[in-house]
Amino acid sequence: MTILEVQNVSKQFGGLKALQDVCFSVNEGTIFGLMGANGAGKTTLFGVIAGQIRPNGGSISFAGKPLAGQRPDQICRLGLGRTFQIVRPFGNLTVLDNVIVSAMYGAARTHRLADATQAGRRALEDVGLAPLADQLAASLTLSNQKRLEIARALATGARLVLLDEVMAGLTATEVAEMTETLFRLRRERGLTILIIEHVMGALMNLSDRILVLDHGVPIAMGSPEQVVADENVLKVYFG
Amino acid sequence: MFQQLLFAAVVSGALYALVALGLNLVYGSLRLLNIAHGDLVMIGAYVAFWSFTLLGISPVVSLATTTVLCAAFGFLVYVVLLKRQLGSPALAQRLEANSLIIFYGLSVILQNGASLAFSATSRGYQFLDGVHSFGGVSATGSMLLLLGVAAAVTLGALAFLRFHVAGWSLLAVIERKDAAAVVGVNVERVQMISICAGFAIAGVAGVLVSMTQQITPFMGFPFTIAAFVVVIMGGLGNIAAGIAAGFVLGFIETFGVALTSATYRSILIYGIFVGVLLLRPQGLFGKAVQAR
Amino acid sequence: MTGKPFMIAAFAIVAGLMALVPQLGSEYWLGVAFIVAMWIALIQSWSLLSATTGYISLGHAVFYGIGAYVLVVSLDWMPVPYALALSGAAAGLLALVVGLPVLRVKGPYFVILTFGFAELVKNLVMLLETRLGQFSRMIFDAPSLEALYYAMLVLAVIATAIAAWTAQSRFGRGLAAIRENEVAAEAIGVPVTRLKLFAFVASAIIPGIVGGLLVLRTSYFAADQAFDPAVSFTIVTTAIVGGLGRVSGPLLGTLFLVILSELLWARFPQAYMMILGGLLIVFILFVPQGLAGLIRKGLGRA
Repeated sequence: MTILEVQNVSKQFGGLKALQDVCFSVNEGTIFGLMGANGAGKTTLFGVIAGQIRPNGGSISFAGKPLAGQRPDQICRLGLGRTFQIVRPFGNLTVLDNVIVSAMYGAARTHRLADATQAGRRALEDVGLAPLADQLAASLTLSNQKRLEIARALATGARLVLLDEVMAGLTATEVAEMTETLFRLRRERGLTILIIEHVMGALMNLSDRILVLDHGVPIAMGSPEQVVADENVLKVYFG
Repeated sequence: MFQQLLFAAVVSGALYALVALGLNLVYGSLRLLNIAHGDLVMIGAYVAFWSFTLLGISPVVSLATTTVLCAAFGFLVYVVLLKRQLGSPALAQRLEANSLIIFYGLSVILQNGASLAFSATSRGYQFLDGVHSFGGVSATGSMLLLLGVAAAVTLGALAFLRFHVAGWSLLAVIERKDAAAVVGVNVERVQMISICAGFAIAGVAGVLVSMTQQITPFMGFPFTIAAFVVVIMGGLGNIAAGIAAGFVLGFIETFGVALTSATYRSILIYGIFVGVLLLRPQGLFGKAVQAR
Repeated sequence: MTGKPFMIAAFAIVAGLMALVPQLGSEYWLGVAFIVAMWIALIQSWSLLSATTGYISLGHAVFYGIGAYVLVVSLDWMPVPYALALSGAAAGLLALVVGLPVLRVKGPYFVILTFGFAELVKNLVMLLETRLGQFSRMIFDAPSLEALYYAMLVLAVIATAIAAWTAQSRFGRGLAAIRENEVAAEAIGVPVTRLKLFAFVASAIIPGIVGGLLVLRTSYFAADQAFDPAVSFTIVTTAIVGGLGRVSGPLLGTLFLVILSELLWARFPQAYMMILGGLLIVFILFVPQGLAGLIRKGLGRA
């Protein structure tokens, strides 16, 4: 069943066409990869889906509801969470408090502190941050702050999460762990994942389907095997 | 009548452009919003006033003394309050957020210090007050001197930024501090010189003000606000646009007051200030115009 | 969590002691206690917006002034309690109307905007008063100081209780998220604009009533005094000296401020302001956690 439907989305910044007629749909419970060089428009696409950036054209619907004109907080409450490539932790709050706010305000809207704490702890356990729950978020290492980004998106009670380069800077072992974690989240929470990743191996390994963007234009879409064999992709990536 | 107003607008525009130039330098290179900027204008005005009335020293000489005094004060503020904080990125980030409050404290100290030392009475003196008439405009010698000095300083700064290597490094710091450091600009030194120059320019403006208006310990704040308006309208680090914006404000103020009455002066200035900030909520650094 | 009942008990004892001050029968001490309660009410209200969200307002005198003005004008038509309620409502309404555009402005620009905005309103009210032929207004049959004091004390208690509740509530957590990172807060579902506006309005209402009470106390209104930027300045300085982000901060700051002001204000007003300016700089640079933080640290070490 389709959970996210993106149709003909376009976005221009001044004269720069960041996205042109992007179309794809994501089935519930799948992992969908976004591929492309720097500046291909991947992060812009996330911004458009999550409501931070207003598109110039096209439409997006999530779980059957159109997202046009909705604010980011409204979109989040519909069950769509996101992480930021450049991390944005609530630095002076503890790791646990970071996820508690998420649980209180996100789609779950857990008003009681005890319930929000429980939901928050579960999200921290999912990403392996439970032992650091009482530390200030600002004191975490970058890779742990990336984990916190995921935990915060999970704690909102999202059914679909947009993960923006959460593996950048991780060691090979950590990448393997993170891959395992994402598979487990899909299995246990029935989570749908839309992921941007430069770590190619991980992306191929994780994704059920992949969309390749080049300068804002979709050039290929399909299973990882189809995409790597695609002529356009080969041209862009290997010249 | 119209020519007279036009002349008055040019005079106050030149003054605003000058005051804003100092603010622009400090904000541009240090990213600190100096809300005490107008109080340095006040200090310059008092230096000129006392030098003239007590010692009989001409305000022309006071231009030099205030330059030195205010630059020294800028140096002091830099070394005592800012240097350590600007040095480490974490502290500097907090300092930027707190800079306005720090300068607010400084402003209160300067205003009340001046009021304690000189009392709150408004004061003035007569210098070059002979009236010259030309082309339907009557101007005192002090007004012409004000115009001349303001023009010389602003144009001098403009030329310095365009033609001198040190001026380029200043522009580089204003544009991208980190990148400037990478290409070998001594950022710390540029910042120190900027704050000294910014303070000195405010002092010079104060000397000019004292020749043409009454002065009080609390005269500074309207100048701060006017300077903010000019810098926001003209754009950060854009000295030329700042000068133009100074004249725009001078014209709006002079003609606005002429069309209504003097009681509207503060309302006009504060109203423009609030309006400009609301229209450009991204503030001095706004790039919204670029991303058309 | 053992600290919590202890803190509540401590606040209750302070409030109880303050309620006994009129029994001393001293006009002087009652006047001092009135001022103490006034600053606590003002600073706790200011903190609700500025300490929790990080949107530092340098213009809170505008709400205080508008409250004072509305009271002195409405007193001709209605009894004191209604006039006071109207003062608070007017301040809240002003915050509601200007809140949306003003809160779009961020960081240092917000700070200086609030200052300019307060000056604008001050000058507008001054112009209006001049147009009406009023240079100052007198109040003749104001309630007794004792009655005013109890009203002020109630405001201080309410403001402190709101601050304490906010600190551990869902609302307070949302505001903290906004302070830490507005974009991320919005992305996890915090309705940023609505929460900021709510905090802004809430932080304006009590200062409006306080302004009304102070006018009743002085029996005199002049626009330039009611909207005095020194009020905003004192609020910010006292809050920062006391310590942002703790309910006890405004209490400690006020205690410090009132002692200083009793010693200096009457005889050396300028020196007093200069010392406040100096304290502001020293605390923000070197003691950002304020007196409350210092004491906490001291206790932790002992």
